[in-house]
Amino acid sequence: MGAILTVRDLSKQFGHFSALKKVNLEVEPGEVVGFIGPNGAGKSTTIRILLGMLQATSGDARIFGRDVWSDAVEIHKRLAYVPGDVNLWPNLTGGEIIDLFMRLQGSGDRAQRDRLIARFELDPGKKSRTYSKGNRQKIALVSAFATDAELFILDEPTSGLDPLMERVFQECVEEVKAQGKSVLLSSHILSEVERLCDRVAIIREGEIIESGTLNELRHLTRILLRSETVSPPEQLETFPGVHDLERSGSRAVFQVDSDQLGAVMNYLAGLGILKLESTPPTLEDLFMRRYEQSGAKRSETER
Amino acid sequence: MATSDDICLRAAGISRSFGGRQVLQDIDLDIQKSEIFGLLGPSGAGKTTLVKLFAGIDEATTGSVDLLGTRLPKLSMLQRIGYMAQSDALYMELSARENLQFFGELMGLGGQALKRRMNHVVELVGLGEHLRKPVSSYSGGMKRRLSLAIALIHEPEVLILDEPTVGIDPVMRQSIWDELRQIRAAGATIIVTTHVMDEADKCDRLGMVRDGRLIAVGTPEGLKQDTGSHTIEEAFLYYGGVRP
Amino acid sequence: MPNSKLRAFAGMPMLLRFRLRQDRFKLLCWIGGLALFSIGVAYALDGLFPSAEERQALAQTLRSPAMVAIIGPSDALNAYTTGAMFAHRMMLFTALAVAIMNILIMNGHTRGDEEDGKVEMLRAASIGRLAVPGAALLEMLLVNGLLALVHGIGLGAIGIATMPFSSSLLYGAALGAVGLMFAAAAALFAQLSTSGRGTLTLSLALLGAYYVLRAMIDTRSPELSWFIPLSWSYLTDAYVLDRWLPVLLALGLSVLLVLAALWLNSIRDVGAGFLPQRGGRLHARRSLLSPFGLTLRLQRTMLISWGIAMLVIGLVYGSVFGSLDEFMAGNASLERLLPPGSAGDLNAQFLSLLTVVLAVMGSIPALTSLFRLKSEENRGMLDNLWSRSVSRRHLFLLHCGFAAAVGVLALLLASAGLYGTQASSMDHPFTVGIIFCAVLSYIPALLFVIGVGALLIGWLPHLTGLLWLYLAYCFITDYMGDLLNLPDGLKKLTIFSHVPKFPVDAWQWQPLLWITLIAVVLVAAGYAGYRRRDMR
Repeated sequence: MGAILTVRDLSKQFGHFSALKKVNLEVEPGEVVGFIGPNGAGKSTTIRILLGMLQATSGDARIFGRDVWSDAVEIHKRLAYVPGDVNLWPNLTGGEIIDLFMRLQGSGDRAQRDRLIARFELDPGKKSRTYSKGNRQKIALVSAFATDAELFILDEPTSGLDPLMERVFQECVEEVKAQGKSVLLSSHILSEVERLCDRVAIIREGEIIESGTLNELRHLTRILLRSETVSPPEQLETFPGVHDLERSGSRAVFQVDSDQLGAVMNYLAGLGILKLESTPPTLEDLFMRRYEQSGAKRSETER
Repeated sequence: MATSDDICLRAAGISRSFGGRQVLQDIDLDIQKSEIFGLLGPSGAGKTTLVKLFAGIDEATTGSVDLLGTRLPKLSMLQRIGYMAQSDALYMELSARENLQFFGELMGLGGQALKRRMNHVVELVGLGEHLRKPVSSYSGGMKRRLSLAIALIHEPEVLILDEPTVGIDPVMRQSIWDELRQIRAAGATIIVTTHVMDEADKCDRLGMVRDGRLIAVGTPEGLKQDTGSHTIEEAFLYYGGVRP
Repeated sequence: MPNSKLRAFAGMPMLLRFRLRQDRFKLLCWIGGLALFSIGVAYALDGLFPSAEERQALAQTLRSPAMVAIIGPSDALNAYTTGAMFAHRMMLFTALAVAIMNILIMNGHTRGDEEDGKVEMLRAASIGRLAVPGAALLEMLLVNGLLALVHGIGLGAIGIATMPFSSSLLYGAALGAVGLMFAAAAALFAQLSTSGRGTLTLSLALLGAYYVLRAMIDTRSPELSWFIPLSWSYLTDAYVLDRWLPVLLALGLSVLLVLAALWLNSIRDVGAGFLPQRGGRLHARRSLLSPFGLTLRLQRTMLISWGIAMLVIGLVYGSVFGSLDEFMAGNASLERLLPPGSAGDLNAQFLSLLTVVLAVMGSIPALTSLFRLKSEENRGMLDNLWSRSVSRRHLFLLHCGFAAAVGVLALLLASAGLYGTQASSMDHPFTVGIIFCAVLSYIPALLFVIGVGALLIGWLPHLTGLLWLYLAYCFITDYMGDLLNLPDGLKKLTIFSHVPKFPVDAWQWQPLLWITLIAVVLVAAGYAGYRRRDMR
């Protein structure tokens, strides 16, 4: 198989509470896999199990072919982790902490470290208690990307960073990917996931409910169309898979299920198309649809 | 032309320095009533310092801030403002319910009114199940949500939120923004600082802050046009000096 | 701002009510526990020493400087009524506990960074800037007042002839006043240090310093004890001379400290925010780059402070030996009472008493060091290590070993100090060997305590607080054991009682080896739990 990371039927119980129910996940070499889901869905639990901090109740999890619980120390020599909440010792400076982290992980070189510090515009001479959340995240990011790790596990790594730094982060991910390394990225910033990830796994209430490439997942959602036709598309509302239709004369704005697209296009073509704009579904749309809860308000109109 | 009646907040010639460090310089800004105004900028640009001046919990070195016609800081005005700080200031050893009760009472709510508001804000942020657990057991996103609930509890006329949705998943983010729009429709003014570009798009107007100065103010569309960008993110990068 | 002075306290009543509600369980435990303990002891003393002769016999043994150093002085050793006996044995020690209670609670309400975040929020809710410390201080005023009342009424109500209400109220008031003083001091220190841990250390250090200083002063120049605020507790001479002056002094000092704390608070706010930071190191020194290096660096200040503390404690107690000699020489009646040659015995007895005290004290830094493993986990710091190639075994054993080293070092320093001063002040001083053996014989007991700590961390990390209770129990049984005639069973619960009291008892290897063995087993058992449990 050769997968860097394999998770099979992973389950975790906390007392009566089932945090994870038979989760399956895989990361191949050179792949960036996105791991998304609402708060409390089990992303952090999964990651903590992968890092050997929690023990799974049942199931199998392997990195580099080794068990994540019993071989944790060996695995971690080739792994880099960036947590969502970075906690640092207040009296050590950023530079000291980065050096410490690199030594404890066991790889990486100074030149790379210094380059990253410059790219992330970090001042390493200040005590970490003076750092904002964003700066603490930068320390974790520099410490991770300065190593020679083969697998990067990133848990909401950029939630405190502004777009300038977000861009630097994305460049780093692309660089390691080009080197054939793998990344597991858990994030709420769906634009980031869309841009970086080859595949995406969606978790909800402890179960993986969707998994595949973005293209595969797009099939399961809708496309937004704005059309203007020669003759008014009066029959449009009768088509199955057409939603939220707003029509005024010959103009129409609506959503259509991906698998109905062909039929609708044929119909519009028959009416004579003057203008047609289509917006492919974003990951956010997909996400929203899969997570709609009763009472939550939809707002496609806000786009 | 906006009359003074329409203006919620007027900042004139604001500067703020700490010790020798100049954090904000020469900021002039008018925020209208019933608008959602977003502040964008790189880390360290001064957004948090600026909104603290707006919330009346800090005082400008030079210049003036007038909120709803009153010069800030003024203790009595603080009751009309809801402030959500960048880092959560919650009592860890207490439950969410006790925290809400405390801050609610602090704001002058009591009895049935307090209960009603508490139920409303709790449902809004989706913490109903976790209400009685100690805050120390909360994840980062949950703490954020509680902080937001606390800022909302007294139905303030002006809501000032510093990076409110950090660590919150998109669905929750969406419902929070829906509620913000409802609050605005009811007449309140909302000032938000954010990094999330999607949220920037949802604001009525934006202000871009860089190195302590306000370098651009306008609607999202306007800013995109001015910089020839398709997205707010590109406009941001332009103003941040990354894009030529 | 006009009316800024009044506005500064806006919202204080509300905050106060909230704080009291927040703390009610804690306060109930402390006040209730202390009061019950005091009343219980008074009641027991009344039953155990009904006759004046029995009490006088006891009083004789307490005249020696050794006893004065540990327990405190008494003006009533010639007429040792139950009341006098109670105040003598209990006042200083209870005052220490009350001071600790105040320090801990005040520290809980003024913890540096957290508070700054909340101060912002509270300010946004139109709470005045002095309302926060003001509410905390008001709370402690109420708490100490309640403590004083409960003691006063409780002790008077027992109905002991020599413990009337008036004197009992003085006793209670003395406790409350001392407590208030230390609450105010803690509030002041909170303004001076940047973190909660810093405040705690400063406050406890001050308390410790007072305790040690007064030991020295009380044995040499008792007139000077009026300069030590902690001593004001027993200078009231409750049930004997009934002086209210020390209480007034304590209240007066409290007011000064409160004003200073509030003033500092008000000016600090103006400059709060960004302080220019000194440039720090850009790179880590090689010594930092390992789990051991990290641990050493993080615990550096604690080690140094406790090292100095133990040395000083040793020095102070050592100096008491000299006074003991003088005491023996000048006391003809005592020489007649005791068999010849037993002067040396009295010194040896005092040494044995001392070593237990030193052992308990040495356990404190050892446990504090060990429990860093748990506190780092709670604060999420250990994730930084677990996600890298640091094994649980390495970290666990490192902390156990480090704690053991801390304990041993503490005892070594105390021994050194002890030897130093006693050698220079006694006619026939103990040899280096005897001193060091006497103190270091408690190392196995220290290891045992660490072992229990390790076991708790491995299996029940949230219950580590119980170990502090156990240490307190050990100290009390040793301190009070003879007085209260505690059954052997209870005494044997303390590990320290199982260590042969060298040089009074002969040296025995066996119990020491057994205790060490048990300690090792405990650590191993702790590790077994640690390696399989989930990390917070």
